[in-house]
Amino acid sequence: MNASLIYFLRLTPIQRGSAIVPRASRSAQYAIAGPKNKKVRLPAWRLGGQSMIPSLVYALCAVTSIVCATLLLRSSQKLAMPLLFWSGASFAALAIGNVLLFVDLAVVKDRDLLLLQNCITLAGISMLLYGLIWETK
Amino acid sequence: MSNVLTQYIGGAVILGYLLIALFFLKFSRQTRDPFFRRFAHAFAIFALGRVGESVIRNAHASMPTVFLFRLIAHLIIIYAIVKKNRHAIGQDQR
Repeated sequence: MNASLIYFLRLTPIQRGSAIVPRASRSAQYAIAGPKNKKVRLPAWRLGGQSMIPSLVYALCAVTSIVCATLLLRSSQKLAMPLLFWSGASFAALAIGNVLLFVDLAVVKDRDLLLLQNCITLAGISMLLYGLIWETK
Repeated sequence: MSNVLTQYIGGAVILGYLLIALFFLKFSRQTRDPFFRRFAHAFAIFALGRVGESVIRNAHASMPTVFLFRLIAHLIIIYAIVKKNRHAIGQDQR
């Protein structure tokens, strides 16, 4: 297994509560990377020795969920279908959850927002379930 | 306490995703519309991703690739909506 793959799939211990800590320290990366703590040349997509891919994945999750919510809410305005409205509202909640995920794991790393994320996601799912159960003919 | 509550709500979220996937599967069987089938697939992938996230979290590890499930599910939903809108516009023009 080459060094980049080890970086990408690495498993690191968690230091704060139950939240996922996305990055190992730089020294830990070097320790994983090769024998005798040999320095390795980092690829261009690593700024400051840390992978940008996790942050990119979290950001893309947030962006795509916002796009989903926008498309569904716009369609619900045009077609006046209650299920579309509830789907849009649900995806708006999921989008807030995904933005919180990005903030939690990529921006603010010293606070655990997982409980808040899960509560908001559950609220979104409940809205969609309400729409599916009561607003479909 | 907070950790237990987080896991409890996480389980409820997984169950909710699976329930929604089943609803959309039922609609896709009734209407034979691929729009609902894509939604069912997306929500099943959401549930799968959530299970993966819980497993990784309980193993006290970090593996950001598990969030790709969410990303793929969102992309499927965007594709389904865009495809449905194009299909509707195509039918209007005929």
